[in-house]
Amino acid sequence: MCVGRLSPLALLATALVVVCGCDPDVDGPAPPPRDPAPDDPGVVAALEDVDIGATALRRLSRRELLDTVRDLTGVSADELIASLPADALTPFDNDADTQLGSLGLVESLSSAAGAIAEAALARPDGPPPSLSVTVEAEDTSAHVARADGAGIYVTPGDAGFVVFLGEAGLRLTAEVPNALAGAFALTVTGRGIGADDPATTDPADDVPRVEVRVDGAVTTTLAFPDGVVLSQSVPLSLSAGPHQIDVVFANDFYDPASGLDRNLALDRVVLASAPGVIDERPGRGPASTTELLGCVPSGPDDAVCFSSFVASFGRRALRRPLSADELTSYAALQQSSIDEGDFLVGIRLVITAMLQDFEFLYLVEPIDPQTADGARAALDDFGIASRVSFLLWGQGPDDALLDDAAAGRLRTGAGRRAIADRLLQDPRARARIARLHALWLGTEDALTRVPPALRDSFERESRALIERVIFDERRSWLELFTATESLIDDVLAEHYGLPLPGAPTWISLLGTGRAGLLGHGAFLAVGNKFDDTSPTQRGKAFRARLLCTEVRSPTPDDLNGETVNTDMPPEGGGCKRERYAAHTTGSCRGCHSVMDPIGFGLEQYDKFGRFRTVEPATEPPGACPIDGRGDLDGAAFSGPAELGARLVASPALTHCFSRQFLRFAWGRHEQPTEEASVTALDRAFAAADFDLIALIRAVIASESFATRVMPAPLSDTP
Amino acid sequence: MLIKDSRRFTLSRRALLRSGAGVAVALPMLEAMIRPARADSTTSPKRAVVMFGGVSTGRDYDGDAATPSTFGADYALTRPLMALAAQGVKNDVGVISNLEIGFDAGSGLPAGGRGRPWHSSSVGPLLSGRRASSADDRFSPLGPTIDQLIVDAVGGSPRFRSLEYKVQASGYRDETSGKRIMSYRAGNEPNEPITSTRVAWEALFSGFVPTDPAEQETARRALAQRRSVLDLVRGRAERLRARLGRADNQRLERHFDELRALETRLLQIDPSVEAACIQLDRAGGYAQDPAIQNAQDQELCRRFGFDSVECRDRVIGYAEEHQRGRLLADLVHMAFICDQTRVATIMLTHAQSFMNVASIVPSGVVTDAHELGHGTGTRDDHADMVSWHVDQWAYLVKRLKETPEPDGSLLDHTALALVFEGGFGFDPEGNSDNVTHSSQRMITLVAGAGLRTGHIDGNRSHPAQALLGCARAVGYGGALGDFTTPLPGLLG
Repeated sequence: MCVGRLSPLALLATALVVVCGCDPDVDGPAPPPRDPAPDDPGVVAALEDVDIGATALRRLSRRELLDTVRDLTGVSADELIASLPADALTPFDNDADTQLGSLGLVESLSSAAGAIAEAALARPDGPPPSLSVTVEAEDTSAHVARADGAGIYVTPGDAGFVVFLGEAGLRLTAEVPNALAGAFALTVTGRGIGADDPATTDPADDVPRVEVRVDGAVTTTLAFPDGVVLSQSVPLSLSAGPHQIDVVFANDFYDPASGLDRNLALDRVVLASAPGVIDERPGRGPASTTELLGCVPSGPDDAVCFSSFVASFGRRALRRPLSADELTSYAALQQSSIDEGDFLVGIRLVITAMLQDFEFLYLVEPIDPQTADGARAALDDFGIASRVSFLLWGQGPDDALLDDAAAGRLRTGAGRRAIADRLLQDPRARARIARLHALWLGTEDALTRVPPALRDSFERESRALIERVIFDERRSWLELFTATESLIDDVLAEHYGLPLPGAPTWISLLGTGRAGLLGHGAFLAVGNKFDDTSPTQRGKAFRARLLCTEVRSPTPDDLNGETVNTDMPPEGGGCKRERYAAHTTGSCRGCHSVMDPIGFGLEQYDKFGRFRTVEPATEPPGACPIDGRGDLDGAAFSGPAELGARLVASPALTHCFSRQFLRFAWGRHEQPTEEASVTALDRAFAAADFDLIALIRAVIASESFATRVMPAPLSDTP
Repeated sequence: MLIKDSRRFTLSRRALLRSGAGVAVALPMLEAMIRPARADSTTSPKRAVVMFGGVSTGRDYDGDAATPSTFGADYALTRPLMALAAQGVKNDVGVISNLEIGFDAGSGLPAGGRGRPWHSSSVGPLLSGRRASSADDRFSPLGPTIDQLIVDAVGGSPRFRSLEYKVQASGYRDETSGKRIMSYRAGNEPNEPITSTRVAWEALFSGFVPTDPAEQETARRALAQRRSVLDLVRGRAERLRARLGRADNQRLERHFDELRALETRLLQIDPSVEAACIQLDRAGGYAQDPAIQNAQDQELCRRFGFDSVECRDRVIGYAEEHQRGRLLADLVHMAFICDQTRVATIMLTHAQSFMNVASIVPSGVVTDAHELGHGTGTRDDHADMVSWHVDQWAYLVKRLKETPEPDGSLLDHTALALVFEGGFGFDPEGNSDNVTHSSQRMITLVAGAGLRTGHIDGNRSHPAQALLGCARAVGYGGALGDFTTPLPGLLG
């Protein structure tokens, strides 16, 4: 068993071989920082011109709230948090300028706070409940054929194995209790018998496969290569209630003439809840009410236990120690415990109040209110701790970081650097930096419109590359756009037209036209319409996101008396390239010449990133070949690999990323007067050889990180 | 709508006094306790509802299928207006066509004129009557929108100054914020709408307590606890604000005001509510919000195959908007009956709506509302998509019409309007004619409060003048942005 070597997240998110074939590259403990030494002097010098402390007072995004609440209470409040007003994506979800106070905000927060508090106090001690259902292949009552299949054909196999033919397999039913709704793991043990058809050009096509169907919907496909007994686990998300899981042979083959025969033997299918796995996830929070309380009350009026909870929970929730006055004001809520004869009543009110507190909901960074607008003042220790924590983890500080703050260890650059190194080793930092990129590139939003069976693989592919380049190997950040390797699972392999690797494996994409993030299904899902790709929208998105240039609407001067439809490609027949040719002349040319050619260079990849050479839905089929030729500012390219190479040659890329990084850190967009900070951060990034980890730790160690610039009042006009 | 039991407002006077002692800045207690005028009067209060659809009623190069061909009471319904007949309210509704928002054609912005770029540039001038700040402005600084002006005239309910709801849940490929707001208190004070039916229900009915004495005591205790929590939160927020600079305080201001308003709401009483004022059954759709769909529909996938368009796209982004619209309209209806508010807005779809229409258009075409205007799907699909908006509005008209009040029906005392982002005609941004990116030939529907019915020629008036007519019908005497006179002949 190699489960222990894998991070729980990887276990949840990855279909992996647990009996054999563990790939150490899939995931693993973060290596110690390569460079514990002080920052590069060139980086430090450049950062002197970056006002990293020019932050906006901003509210926690819905994601930050979700993670912070789980960390604090152990409650996963997805549905409650989802009812809060949606965060605008500009491109980040923490833009203070888009955050509004509203009736809906206070009502949903008030409701969510009460429900979370109640859930947090309804978690019994003892081992968490679990569910495990096993179906053995010999149990004929569990045999099932696909609804459209031709029947069940089984023959006994060796040692408990049963050979399934046709479209048959095993059915498992389970009743999921409310307390266990969520993550499960399904483990299928079986052995494939390939047909060894000499006519099969690709051996991967001959690998027997099973489909896993949850309540009738295919959630994943597993490959069982010839002759090896495998136990493969897949993560499943199951809601409370009855569920039916079918594991059926997906590609049976038999040719009586030649005797060629592909078979699948199954041994068993096991469904198990995964609380043990989740328990290991950092930031999951207390596992029971007792752990949350930190003490066992002697009765409703146990003031010591009550106060100790207020002090410890308050310190975590409000991200600083509470004053004596504050402790007293919360302690008054214990009267409700006494009135109702239930210690937890007052505790519930404390949690409910703290989850609505402005210091919980907002990243408050108080500095001396007398500080002049635009002037700088020191942040207190806990303000620095929160700033580091939200930048690197997207949630509040843990106890260790608060201890660091209390001990004054965040006051010096060296102290902050050491703490940054610790935080960067936590999986939360990997998730945060991956999400920074997913929001910047628009993939997080685009993935919501990708079928779930593809979505998980898309997300894993991009996240794996980001973690490998930035964290594991500390390569140049530019390689995110040029890397020739990709973490490919069977779903992606089938989607991209590659040999099936069985388990997720780093595979070279050289010669496929794909490279880096731009070749991933996740990025290619950005900037499309419902029915197909839009070269204009893709080009526009590419410019806005990767080069930070917005393409404006045409002015009357642009139009020069001509007419255009400003929102749609020209109507009429013909292939897409011909229809869009109208954009290349006259008044349209000015704007479309910087958008459409980028999109046309990606046209051989459909809206889910699948390679194609003809346009879909033409009559006759194939009537419109796609040549895939594109152009970025005069440099010809075709496909994501060549576009990535052109992109990294442009100084606009890192300048744009520096701008986006500051927006992410500041929680707002830059003012025209702040261009110097953007340029200086870009200079520092170059001085760090585009090692993003080196840049981030230097930013945190820089002097301005421990200060805040007093923001000027907002103007009255938007 | 299912009605479970009769829950009324009652008050624990003890709780009121206890909480009141700690309230420093909440609205004055007397004001909060004053009953609305209706309690001592035979005249029902005036109310108003404005709904918005972020689509154009015309379709590119395809003519204007929405405008009826004749004027007067006996006009024939066009396909986009068919829902009026389906809901049985055709004779209660005024269809005002041929309305127009101007733009700068070389001699400056006219009154209520919009910026030249299209999407969302019409929203501000339409609802506030104010011209854009410049010829190229897309998101104009707005003055107060019509709903907020009416609030001041009709006398806000003691509980909710106004209610802002939104039906479309997901922004799809546009997750910016400006296109999902239709109500503004002032130029820089947007009223962000509630999309969650669960939150909307809880907000509306949190002050109701059961009539059963045993349950009543539990509910009163919960209410008292909630008050004490909010009192603590508000007090702490006040002390925090004193430690912050001006910019930080600006960012917290509205949140703080809403917190205080919530606290005040929980202190209010309504001891003599009408018999019809009841708590809608939470289990009737308000217990849980429908999720925004991002998974394929299993049944469709089985039928068409995993790789089919039907499987992948049909439900993506859809969040039961049809049912959500009904549920929110039912809340507005009950909020009026209970006099919890007198003014509501419902944003049916975002400006430049990318809402997946597959589930609301009978043909099931898989595309978004915006693309339908530009030629995807058929002319009938576009008409049916517009008609879906009309149906949502007409449903509320019907509910109000069916609700008697001592001096007529609820509809008799409520002015309702349905406006759309665009009409059909010339587009100055693209210098093209006969397109959907146009604020010419716009249509506004009105009903109730004695407003004229039948098909009315707007005669190229600004649609804000139609809204001003609605406002006049419920007692607002002031201007709407650049306009001081309502559309002539609208007031019956």
